Amino acid sequence: MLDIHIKKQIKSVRGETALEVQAHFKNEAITGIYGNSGEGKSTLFNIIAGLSSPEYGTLHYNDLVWLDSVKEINLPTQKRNTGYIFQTNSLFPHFTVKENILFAVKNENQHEVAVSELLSQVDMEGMENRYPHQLSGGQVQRIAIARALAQKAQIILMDEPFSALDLEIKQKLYSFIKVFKKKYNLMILIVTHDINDIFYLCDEVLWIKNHKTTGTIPIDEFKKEIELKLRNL
Amino acid sequence: MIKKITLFIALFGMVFTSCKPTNNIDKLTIATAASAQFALKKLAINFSKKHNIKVDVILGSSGKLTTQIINGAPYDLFFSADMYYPKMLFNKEKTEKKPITYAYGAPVIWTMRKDIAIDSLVQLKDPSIKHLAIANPRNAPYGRKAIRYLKQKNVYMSVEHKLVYGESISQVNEYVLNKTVEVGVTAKSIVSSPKLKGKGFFKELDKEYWVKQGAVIIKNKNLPEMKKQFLEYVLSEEGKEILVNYGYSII
Amino acid sequence: MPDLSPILLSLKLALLTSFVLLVIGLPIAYALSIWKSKAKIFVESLVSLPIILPPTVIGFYLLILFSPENLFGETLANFGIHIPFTFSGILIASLVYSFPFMVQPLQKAFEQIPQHYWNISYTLGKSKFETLIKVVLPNMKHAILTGFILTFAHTMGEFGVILMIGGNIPGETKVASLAIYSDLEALDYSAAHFYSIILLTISILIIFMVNLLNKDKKADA
Repeated sequence: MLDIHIKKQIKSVRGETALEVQAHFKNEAITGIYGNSGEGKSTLFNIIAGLSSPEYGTLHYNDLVWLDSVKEINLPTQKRNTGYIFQTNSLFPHFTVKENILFAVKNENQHEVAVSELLSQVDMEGMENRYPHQLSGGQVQRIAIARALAQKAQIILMDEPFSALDLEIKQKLYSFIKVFKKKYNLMILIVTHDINDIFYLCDEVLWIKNHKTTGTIPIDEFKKEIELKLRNL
Repeated sequence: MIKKITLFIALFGMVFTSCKPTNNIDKLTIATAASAQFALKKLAINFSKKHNIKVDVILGSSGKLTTQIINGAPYDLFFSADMYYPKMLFNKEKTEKKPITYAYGAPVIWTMRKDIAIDSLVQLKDPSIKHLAIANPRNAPYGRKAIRYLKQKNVYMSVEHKLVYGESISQVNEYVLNKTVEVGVTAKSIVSSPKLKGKGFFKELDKEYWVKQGAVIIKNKNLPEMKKQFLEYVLSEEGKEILVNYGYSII
Repeated sequence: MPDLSPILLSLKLALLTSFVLLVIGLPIAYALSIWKSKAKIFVESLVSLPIILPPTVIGFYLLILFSPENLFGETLANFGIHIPFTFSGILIASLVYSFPFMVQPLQKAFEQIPQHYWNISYTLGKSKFETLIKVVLPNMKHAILTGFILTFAHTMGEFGVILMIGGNIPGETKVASLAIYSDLEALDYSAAHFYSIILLTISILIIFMVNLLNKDKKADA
């Protein structure tokens, strides 16, 4: 589980404002981070991954302290082992598929990783020697997921992973992600502005409103709130 | 990839070992104005044979060479096309002694065209002569003398619009040789050099327009005796003969 | 055949200049690419100054700076370091003169590398240095090659700066462009043609290579 309690100054369209997040993410759950653009969803991811530091806050992962602004603890990104998947260009263009996957593994462990097996798990058999520009958007995202598995990441952060994809490919990815969550006990956080992603995929939702949120809500509650909102339109 | 790198390193090595500077051999370096280069090269070759020593002749405009000498250029002697720059170096205490005049250089009016009678100044005014090239009078003594000549002969006003200024006397030579200009004013030491002897037609200006050619020994630690001997050789009977052969006058 | 040493000297100077500039240009270009300050525009202008400054001006000021007449040059001379009229002198001059030709393409390339390449690499456990070597530099190899080739070409054709600080000394500072100048002054047109044709050939090859590279780059994209 991941406990987060942070405050960070961010720039929004209305000028400087504070992002305040208090949340508890469960292991073996897919949590959607929902909100309008500019709410600070990506900033929150960067804080979790250790790429950005808040002025104030704590971050605990299971028994480990990742961040404590008072005690001046801030575990570097390299030691947090989070898998990070972006909307596009998640893979390095100068590496082949195989090289991209092996890049996530420490040199001394590379021989233990069965790249072909990982690829077959994401339905990408025989693609080892392709370059990212020879793949479709959906294929790139699947390789990125395979890389996160090779990395043995326990937390996977997906920042708008589906927004560049067609519906059909999206649905295929949804089922992959659900399978892997169970199989590998993963905590998956998905930033999205698309309620469909959340409806199909998520167990819980962290809804950021006006740069603030005080915790996740179960998916059913989210659905109800959305329906209410739609009815009031 | 490794092959490429090896090839690259090999090429690199070749280039590097191929041109080692020859620092440790005894050598005189003589800086000379462009107009004096042919005579000086001949003098350098003869001196080099006599004393079994390497002599490098380095060309440049008198002004640029002077700037370099002031800032420590490793030249041993400086043969200017005038007295102004050698005097400046002497005043800045860069030279062993006062500058000496080693020869006089006569400016010449020079053309490649048979039909132009350069003896007659009237012809310079003729519309068939569109350009008259002279070296920039600001830094070239032959250019200054040319202007003075034109003014004193009262043709300056009528040819002023035809004047083309070369960056140095070498540029004037190129203009005339390539027939970019019909007429140019250059040095007799240029048109009398073996390379250009017999090319075109020239007329020497009167004695009063001759340019005093100054030489100085530059103060440095390199071969003090040799430097003195080179200057003595230039001033010797043999040296004078070479200078005269190359178009200089000795008074 | 005329003496080949000016050509070899030019090649040596151009290769060394390109290598040294690549080594010092990379950290400077990187620093400039991440630097956010109002003073940045001032420093960037300073970097590009050699593009518009007349070469003789650069040469003249370098000559003054390193001249034993002045404190800085005198101090160096006391340590036995002589910069003007030596190969080191024209190398330093070339480094200054070609500086923007290396730093500008590299800086632009650093700026164009998406921030998330760095970020992904960090999340995969790689250090900043490892990321630079294995991810960032390979993705800017076009810029590195372009910078290298432009610097090389620019140095091959350098004249005014070297004439000023080099002094046209055979085997030491008399590079191909100075040899051409001397031969023209000496009215030795055949030697001037000889050097010019070699330089021309090298230039054509370089332009051809740059165009080939750009074509490659377009095909990649």
